[in-house]
Amino acid sequence: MAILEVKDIIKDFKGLRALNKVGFAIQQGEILGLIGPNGSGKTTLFNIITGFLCPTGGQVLFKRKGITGFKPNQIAGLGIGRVFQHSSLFPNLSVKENLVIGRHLKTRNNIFGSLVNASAYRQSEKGLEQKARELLTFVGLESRCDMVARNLPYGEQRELELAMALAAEPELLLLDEPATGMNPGETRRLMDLVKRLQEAGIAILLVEHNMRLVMGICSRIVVIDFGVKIAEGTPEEITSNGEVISAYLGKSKNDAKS
Amino acid sequence: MDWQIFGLQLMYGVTTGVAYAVFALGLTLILGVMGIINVAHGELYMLGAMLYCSAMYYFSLHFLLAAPVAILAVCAIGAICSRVAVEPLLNSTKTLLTTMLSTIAISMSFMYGSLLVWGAKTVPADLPFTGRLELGPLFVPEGRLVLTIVGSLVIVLLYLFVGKTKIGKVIRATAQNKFAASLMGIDLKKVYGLSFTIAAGLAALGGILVAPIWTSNPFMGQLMILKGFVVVIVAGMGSIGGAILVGVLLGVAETFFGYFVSMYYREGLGYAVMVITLLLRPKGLFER
Amino acid sequence: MTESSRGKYILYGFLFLLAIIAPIVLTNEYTRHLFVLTLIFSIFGLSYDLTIGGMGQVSLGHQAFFGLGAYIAGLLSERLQVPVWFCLPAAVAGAGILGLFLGYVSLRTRGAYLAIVMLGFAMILWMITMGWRDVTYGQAGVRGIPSPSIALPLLPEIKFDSPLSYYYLSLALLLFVMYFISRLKQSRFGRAIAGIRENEDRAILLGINVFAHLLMMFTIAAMVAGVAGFAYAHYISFIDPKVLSVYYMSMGLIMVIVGGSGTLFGPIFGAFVFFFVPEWLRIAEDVRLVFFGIVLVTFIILMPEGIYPRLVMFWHRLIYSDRVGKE
Repeated sequence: MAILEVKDIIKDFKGLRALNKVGFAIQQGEILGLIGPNGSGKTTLFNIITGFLCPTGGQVLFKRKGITGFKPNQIAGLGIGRVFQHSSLFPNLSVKENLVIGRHLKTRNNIFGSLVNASAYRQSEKGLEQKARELLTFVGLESRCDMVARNLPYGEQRELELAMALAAEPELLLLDEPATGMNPGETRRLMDLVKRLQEAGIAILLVEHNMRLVMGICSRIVVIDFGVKIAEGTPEEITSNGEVISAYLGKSKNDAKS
Repeated sequence: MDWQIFGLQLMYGVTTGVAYAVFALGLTLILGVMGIINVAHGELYMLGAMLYCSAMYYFSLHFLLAAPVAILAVCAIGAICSRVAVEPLLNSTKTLLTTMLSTIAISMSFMYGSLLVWGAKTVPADLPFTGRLELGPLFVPEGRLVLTIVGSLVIVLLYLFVGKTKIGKVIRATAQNKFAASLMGIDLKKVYGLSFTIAAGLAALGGILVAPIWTSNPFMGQLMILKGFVVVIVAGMGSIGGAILVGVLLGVAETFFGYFVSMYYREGLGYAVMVITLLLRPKGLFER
Repeated sequence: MTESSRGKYILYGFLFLLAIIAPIVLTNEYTRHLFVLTLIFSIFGLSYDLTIGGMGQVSLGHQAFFGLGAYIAGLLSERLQVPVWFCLPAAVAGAGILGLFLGYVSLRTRGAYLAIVMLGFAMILWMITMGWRDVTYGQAGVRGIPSPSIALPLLPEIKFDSPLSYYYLSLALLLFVMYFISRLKQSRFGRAIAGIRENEDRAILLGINVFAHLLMMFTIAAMVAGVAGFAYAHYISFIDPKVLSVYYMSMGLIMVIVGGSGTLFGPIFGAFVFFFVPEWLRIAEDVRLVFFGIVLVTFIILMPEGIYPRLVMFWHRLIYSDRVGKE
């Protein structure tokens, strides 16, 4: 089943058409890459899917149901998670607290339970503790449990973000240039992590400039240039597509070589 | 409709509005350049008036000397406050909050300090322009006439200064984009200091112009700052022209409301307008 | 129980004991009076900190909730002879409704706009109180507000009309408020608020309805302020429109910033500083606010997190200094 369907999305900004009838579908459990030169509209598309922007035309369907125009927190509640391009954590809280807040959608205790320290509340707290540790282990950050988030080195901050996005148990995860600022070692760790996410059953929409990463883990790739989809297919098909090479890949292939 | 009464109220309203506009001008300048709300602006205005009266009463200075002395003194005070208590707080994520608290604290210190120095009364100085002129059918208080003339002059001068001079360009550049401005070699600290000082001078001038028509006491700043907030919120962040327009309109609206509707709740008009503006157009009417 | 939390509980127990015996040992009526004020305004400070440290927003109108609570409590018991204990839920409910209404209208903005709008509302409320003489007695204020009392069968009536007795009443209220706030912070709701404060965009992505959460917290903060208003009205037995003035707003800001925002004990510490330090330094009444103005500026520039967190850091370093090398 297609978990996400983007149909004929049009987005206009005061006379500039940022997206022109862009459409594609993500299958359950697949990793779809979204590539294109800077300014081609990738972030706009992300913002539309996650509800921060309303499209001028077209639809977004999640699990066959329309979510166009829903508010961001509603969309998050339906099972779509997102990791921002820039570091976006709760800086002054500890790593564990960051994750606990990440579990917001999956926690059921309310204020009254907390006030009287009811057994349901205590159960829930234990569950949170456990889940937080599980998530930290999954991304490899167990040793950082009590560290204040803003003191983490950059690569680990990104891993924490991933853990936080996972905390909400999404069915679809949108990764916005997760490898930005990472060295090859960190990038390899990231690739591993994303593959393990796929194994856990999460579908992933990945925007990235790092071609090695994209070609390495995506099952299919969509290419956008100037707000228009110019190609869609497997990595092999994309690398041999003339239009794509001239629009974009030509430059990046050289980058990937170096 | 008694046109004489209408004219009288209009005159009162416009002149009051000019006072509001001059006050809001300084507030907007600081808001536009430094991005902060200077809650102590009312106290700078108050100090202008109090020092002016004191210079004349205790030191027997002629008013033409007392005025610049008071203005310069307040400019100096403003510069010190800016350097010590405001500038260190800029460029952080919490700047708006901390500078607001800092200027609240300064405002507190100045107001209660002034209460200690002068007591809760006015300085019985022999102020100029306390008479009335006969202009056509109306009796216009001299003070209001001077206020309008000098106030308008100052507004125009400031407009020319910011718009046409080199320093003015520097200030505008900083207001639009601090980062780019600093990249161009502009010393942001100097711009901040200059802007705050100019704003302080404007506030002090406002206090001096208002001295003949309203009572000057340590509490006058508290009343004025609230008007300033109304103007800034309704006009929108950083819009100088908007602040002037809204200031004058507020003066007129208040005066008419006070005379024809209710003197008692006149003050509430401003707050009500501010709240409504925030509901319908949170960014203000003239946001840049 | 870990070593550090056992140490904490011992400390709390010790402080509690100290709090219980303090007014018995210190027999000076004026000192007791200051203690009562400290306790009452600690409640106010904690309520203000729910918006400042909890939500991360400074409202310049929080005194409106304190004042409204005081007026509701005072007017109900003085004019309508409502039993004092019923005035507490009334004050809390009234302040809460005002908080809900003002929050609904104002929380669509943030930062400086929110601060000023709340100030505007507080001024409007002050003007209404001054003007609506038929109901509020206007500038004259409400006099002769009765003190609370408990009449249990077979026991003599306990009247809370002296600083000593009111001390224990206020202490009970404060402890309840402290308990409530600490449990709030440990709940899903409290954590969501922390998330919104730290990074609103991130919080939205995690499914949190920001506006609803902020509104709820704002209302709670208003209600707690109402508790303080109730306590104040029935202690001083006279209130006038001054309870809605910026004097109490400034007091709240001083307590929260100097004491320490975001912590449970910070505003309490700040309240102690506000009421006792001027006494120790023998600062005259009219110099106090100049003094605090300067203190506030100094703290904002040099120690914005407040005294209490610094003390905690100092304490930790003292206790764990031998472990530093092993970290």
